[in-house]
Amino acid sequence: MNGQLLISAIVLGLSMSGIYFLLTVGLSLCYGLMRMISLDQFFYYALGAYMVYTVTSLTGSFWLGMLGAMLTTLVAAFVVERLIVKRVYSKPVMFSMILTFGVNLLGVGLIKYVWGLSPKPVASPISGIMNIFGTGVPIYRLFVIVLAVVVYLAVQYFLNKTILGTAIRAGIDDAEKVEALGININRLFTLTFLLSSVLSALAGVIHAPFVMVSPEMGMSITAFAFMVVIIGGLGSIKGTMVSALIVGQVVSIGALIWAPLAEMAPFLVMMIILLIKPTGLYGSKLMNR
Amino acid sequence: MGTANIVEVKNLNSAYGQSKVIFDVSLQIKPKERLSIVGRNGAGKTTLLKSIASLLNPTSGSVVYDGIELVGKPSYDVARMGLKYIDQDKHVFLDLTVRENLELSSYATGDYDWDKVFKHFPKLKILIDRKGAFLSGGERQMLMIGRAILGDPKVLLIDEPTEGLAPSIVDDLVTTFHELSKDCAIMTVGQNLSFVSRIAERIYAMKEGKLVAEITDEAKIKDNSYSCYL
Ligand SMILES: Nc1ncnc2c1ncn2[C@@H]1O[C@H](COP(=O)(O)OP(=O)(O)OP(=O)(O)O)[C@@H](O)[C@H]1O
Ligand SMILES: [Mg+2]
Repeated sequence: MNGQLLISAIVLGLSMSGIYFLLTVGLSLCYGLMRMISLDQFFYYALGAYMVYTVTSLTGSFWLGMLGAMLTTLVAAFVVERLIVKRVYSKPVMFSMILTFGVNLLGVGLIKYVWGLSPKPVASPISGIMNIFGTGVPIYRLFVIVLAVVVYLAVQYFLNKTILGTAIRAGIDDAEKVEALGININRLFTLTFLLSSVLSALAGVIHAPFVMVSPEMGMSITAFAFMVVIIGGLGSIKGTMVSALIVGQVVSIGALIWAPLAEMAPFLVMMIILLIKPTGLYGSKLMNR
Repeated sequence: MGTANIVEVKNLNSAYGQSKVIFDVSLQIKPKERLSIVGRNGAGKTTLLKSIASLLNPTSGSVVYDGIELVGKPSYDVARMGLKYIDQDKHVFLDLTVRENLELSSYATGDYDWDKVFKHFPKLKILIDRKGAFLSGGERQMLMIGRAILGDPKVLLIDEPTEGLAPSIVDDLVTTFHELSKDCAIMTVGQNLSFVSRIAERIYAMKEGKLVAEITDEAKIKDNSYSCYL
C-alpha cells in the first residue's frame, strides 16, 4: 500500500471520526439521561448544513454561517422539545423512536420545501494544504479533528467539573433520586436535549464542505451514527469517542483497500465487538439497569 | 388542641396502572416525632412513602405538609420544601464521589453547611473523595441520610433503613435517628421489629395497602406485641 495514500486515509478517517463524534455524543447523552432515542438529531444535522450554506452564501462568511446554524437549530430544537419531545422523556423507548422519527421526516420535508431538491455546495473555509510526512493534507480536515477534540474536552469538563454536569451524570445513573434530592430533572432533560441538538447541527456544519448538502444527508449518515453509538455503548461519552475513532478509520482505510468495504467493514467490526461485548465497549453500567 | 401535625395524609389511594396498592390511608406525622410503619413485603409501604413524597401520583386523597397541599406538586419541589424520601435500595450515584453527592444536595437546597452532615456521620468526611460504587452498604446509608439532611428538612421518610446492614451499624442508626429527631420528624418503614421497638414513639401497622392498627402504648412498642398485626 502507498504510504501517502495511507496518511491521507488516516487523516480523512480522523476527521470523519470527529463528525461522527459530534453527531453521536447527543444521541448517547439523550439515551443515557432521558432513556430516549432522539432520531430528530439527524434533522438538526441536516438543518445545520443547510443553514451554513444559506448564511455563507448571504454573508460570505462560513464562520458566521456556523454561528447562525447553531442558533437556528437551538431555536428549532427548543420548539420541538416544548411541543413534542418533552412528552416522551422517560417513557418506553418506542415512544421517542416513533415520535422523533416523525419529527425527522417532517424536518426533511421542510428542508425540501425551503431549499428544494437539488444538492448545494459549501466551500471549505480553510483552503490551505499542509505537508505531513510528504503527504499534502487539507488543513480544513485538521481543523475538523481539532474542533472535535476541543468539543470532547469541553463536554468532559462540563460533565465532570460543573454542578449541572454532575447532576446529569447522577441522572444517567438514577433520575428519580436526583429529583428526590430536590433538583428539577426536567430542566436537565431540556438542557441535555438542546446541547445534543446544537452539537448535531455543528456536525452538519463541519461536514458540509466534505459533501454536497442534500435533504437526504441525515438519512445517509444514520447507519454510521448508530454503529458508533452501539459500538461505544449507549450513554458513555468516552465510549462514543473511542468508537467514533474506530468507525472513522475502518471506513476510510476500508475504502482504501476495496471501495465497497467502506460500507461493509464497519458492520463487520460492530458484529465482532458485539459478539465479544454485547453492551458495547463502555456500555456495561447502563445496560445493567 | 395539641401541636399541629407537620404532615396530614387523608384518604390516600395509589395504584400502578390498574392495580390498586394503597387504599384510603389516613395518617398524621407530628413535628420531630419518630414514627414507624411496619408491614410485610408487598404491603405497600414503599408505594405509600413515594406517594407522600410526590414521587408517585396518588389517584385520590390529600397530603398536606406544613399547611401546603403536596398532591400534584413535582417531587423536587416537595424535597426542597423539606420533605425528603430516602430509598430502600441503598443506591447512591455510583459514578459520583461522596463530595459530589453532597454538592448536588447543596445545589438543590442552597445549604452548604456540611458540618451538620459530618456531625452525624464523621466517617463521610474521611470518605469524601470515594466514589459511590466503592462504599459499603452502611456507608451508602450514611451518605443517603447525610445528603438528605442538607436543607434542614422537617420530615424524613426513610424506607427500610436497616435492610442488609450489619447489627453494629444498625445500633449506630438507632443513635443517629434519636439525634436527628431533635430537628425533624422521621418516619421509617420496615419489617425489622427489634429496630422499630428501639426507635419508634408511635407505630402504624400496614396490611395489604391499608393501615390496620396504630400503636402508641410504649410498653406495647417495647415488647413487639404489635407483631400480631403483620
Ligand atoms: N412499579 C410497580 N409496578 C406495578 N406494581 C408494583 C410496582 N411497584 C410495586 N408494585 C406492587 O405494589 C405492591 C406494593 O409494593 P411496595 O413496594 O409498595 O411494597 P413494600 O411494602 O414496600 O414491600 P417491601 O417490603 O418488599 O419493600 C406489591 O404488590 C408490588 O408488587
Ligand atoms: Mg418497599
